Amino acid sequence: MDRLDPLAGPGAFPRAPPMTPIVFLSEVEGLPLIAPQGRLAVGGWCLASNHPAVPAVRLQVAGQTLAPVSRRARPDVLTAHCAGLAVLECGFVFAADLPAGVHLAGLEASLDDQDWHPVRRFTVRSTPAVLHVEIEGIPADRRVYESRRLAGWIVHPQEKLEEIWLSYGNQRLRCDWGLAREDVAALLPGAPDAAHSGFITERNLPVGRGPLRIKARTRSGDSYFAATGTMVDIERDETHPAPVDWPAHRAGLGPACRSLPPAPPPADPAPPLKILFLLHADFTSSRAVQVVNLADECAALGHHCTVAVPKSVETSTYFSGRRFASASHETVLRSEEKFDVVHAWTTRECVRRCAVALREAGRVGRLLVHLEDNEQRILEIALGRPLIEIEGLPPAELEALVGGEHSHPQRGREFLAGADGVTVILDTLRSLVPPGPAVHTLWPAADERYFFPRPPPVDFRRALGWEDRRIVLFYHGDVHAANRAEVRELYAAVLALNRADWPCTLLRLGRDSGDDYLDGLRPEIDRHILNLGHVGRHQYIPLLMQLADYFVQPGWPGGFNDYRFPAKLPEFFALGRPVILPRSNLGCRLEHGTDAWVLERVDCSGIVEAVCVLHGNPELRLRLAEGAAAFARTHFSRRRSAAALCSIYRSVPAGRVPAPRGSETQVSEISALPSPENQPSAG
Amino acid sequence: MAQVSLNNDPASGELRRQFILTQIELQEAEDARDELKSQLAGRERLLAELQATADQALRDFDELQEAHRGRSDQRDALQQQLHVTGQAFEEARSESIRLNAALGLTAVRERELRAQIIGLEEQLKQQAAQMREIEQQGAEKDRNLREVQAGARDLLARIDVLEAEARVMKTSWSWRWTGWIRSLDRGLSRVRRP
Repeated sequence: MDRLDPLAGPGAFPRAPPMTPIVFLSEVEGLPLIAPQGRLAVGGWCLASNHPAVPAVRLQVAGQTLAPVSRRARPDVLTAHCAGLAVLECGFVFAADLPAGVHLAGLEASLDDQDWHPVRRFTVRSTPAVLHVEIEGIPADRRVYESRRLAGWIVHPQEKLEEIWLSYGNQRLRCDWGLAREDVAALLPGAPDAAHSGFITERNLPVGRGPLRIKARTRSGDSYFAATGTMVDIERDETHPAPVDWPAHRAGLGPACRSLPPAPPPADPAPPLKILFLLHADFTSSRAVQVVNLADECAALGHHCTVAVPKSVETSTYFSGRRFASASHETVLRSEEKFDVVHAWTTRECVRRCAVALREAGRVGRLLVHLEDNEQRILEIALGRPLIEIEGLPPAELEALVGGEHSHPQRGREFLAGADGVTVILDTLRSLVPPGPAVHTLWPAADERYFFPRPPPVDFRRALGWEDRRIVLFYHGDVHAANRAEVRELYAAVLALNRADWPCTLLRLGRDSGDDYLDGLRPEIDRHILNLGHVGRHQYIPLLMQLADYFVQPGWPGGFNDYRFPAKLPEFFALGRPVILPRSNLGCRLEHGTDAWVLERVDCSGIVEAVCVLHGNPELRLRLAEGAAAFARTHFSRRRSAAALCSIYRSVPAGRVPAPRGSETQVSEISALPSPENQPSAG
Repeated sequence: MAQVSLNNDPASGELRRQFILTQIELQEAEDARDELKSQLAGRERLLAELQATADQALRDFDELQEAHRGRSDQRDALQQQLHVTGQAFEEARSESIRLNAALGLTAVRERELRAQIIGLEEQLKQQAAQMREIEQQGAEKDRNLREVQAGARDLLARIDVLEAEARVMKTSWSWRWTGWIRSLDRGLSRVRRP
């Protein structure tokens, strides 16, 4: 209840004391007020103290001055305020149509209908008006089984409509609009165009099934949708004389995400770190996956994480729900921000230059470098020359060839030697680290929210027209000079399987760069490949992965594979499918026949043989699927990796002076995950 | 579940590709829808809270405005009092100036008076000393007087004794019998004195 003195005001000095001031007592009921679909109805009461009559009231709202639609007797107010019967009718009700939005309303009162005094103010939230729709000429159960034209009427209480569409299932039909409907005009007199609100579909409803919805576009360009309460279930039409057998439910692929228990609060009492990860490629590259996982989890632990990429910062949207900041190298260099930790992801030139510039500017607390490849071998493959020849090139020529995309042979080594610490994705990479910095092993992981064991979506595979015996392989990742030959073996294996009457499809994601590595396999291979290209968001990749029967990581031991840990492997294992991979890198740590199907060489013949063996042995297939999921649970965890990485950051001393040549490399006891040495040997 | 009859021809492959990608887009749209629903519910809650806060703020504002008006009245009254007090202050200040001027003259007089007082005090001291001397002399005289008075009393007592003895003697027989001798002596004395 409010009390306002209507005689109060900015009086002139000296001011005479008010004699017997009249105070308005009032109440507006139902605050905070909502006007559903723009329809305001508000009640309350208003009294004037020391005055025998009921004051007149009005409401100012949304540019309108409203008079009460009715006055009501309020004996309760009389009792509460010991007022006389003369003011029994102190109740009021206002009603109006308001535009959508939040409006300020002001209740005013007057004793003489001339001087109006503000009594109280409040807000009114008006929700948008909705369409009024009626579908006519349908059975009482509101189901449409017949292919025919549908008619009805549609009105928006405030806006004029321009286009009407009906939709159900996968069908959408335009409607003729503007048919005369005097009855609707009488029913909704305030609505524009109510007199011409009739509509009818342009043609008969085609086959389809689903709830009937209506969409209307107004002349102002807004679109409105409404459910009609009608179900369409049409099996035949002019073009489908035979009944179409619609599935009982939609064969989908979801859900994309599962909910996990929230991370426990950070137990580390130390202040949070400012961590900068420097990547050499944008967020859509396979290299970004591990960085994103770690940065995201470190951020969840309370640290301030930034991931900087050389260009295309906007690709950070590839990972939804991220908790870290993203920036370009240039932005980071331009800023004056200091970082407790800068983690250079590889020694590639663009990363090295950025990290060195930051360090020289005194903006780096600790500098760590991550190795996940034999960069020198990659350089050899990319340039098509042996390393010894590359190192012998004139500096300017070498510089031009290396560019920013590759690791410079000498500078890369110096960069590693000058780092405060080094993380490696595999222990084999320790041999590439110059003496000096402490080295830690850090295995990658998959995001458990999206990558988890998923049963094969049988309905969806059938909806694709795939027979149950069809073998589906899956490979995601870009194809480049270093893995071109291996991926070609996978394609060749798919072709060989089909030729051997094992229907097989390769579901392929990712981008191809460089030459046509499938030369010789085309055009026959094309019809066995379902190339989906680059998927917009990483979180939807597991939806596609679940279509696969097996995951194949083609390759063989050697200077390239022995020093890498393909980022896709944790994701393969997490999905709970048999994984076929070579006895190299992770393959050396797996138990053949339990964790995965480990081959000496995962080439065309190896893949064909493995798929034939596994496809003919459901028990083995199940064991490998369970083994893969179990291995993922045990060894690939974002949270554990991030916690271990934070321990590494805190354990690494800052400002280490590079050790002289010849001294031993410090091998740290701290490992992000169980040391590969402790893993079971390959079978 | 209907079995869709698709071959392995490029058109079927393209259809499958589009079907899968559409499913992904659909999933993405559904995820976005769910997220937007959640956001919308959050916004609705926030809006309701904001509206309640706005209503409360309006109430508070009106009450404060009313209180402000009350304070304005008080301020006006205080201003009036201030005005009156100011006038009184001005008057008091004028009086003070006048008194200060008078006080300047009074200071000279005061100095003179102080000198007089000092002189008088000096005289007073001298007079006191004289008084003390007089008092000492008086005390001496009193003492002498008391001694004289004591001597006088002794003499008077002796006189009384002697007078008593004289009366006794004169009334004695011998005195009367010897009277002639004393008359003879007195005559002889007058003869011997020229």
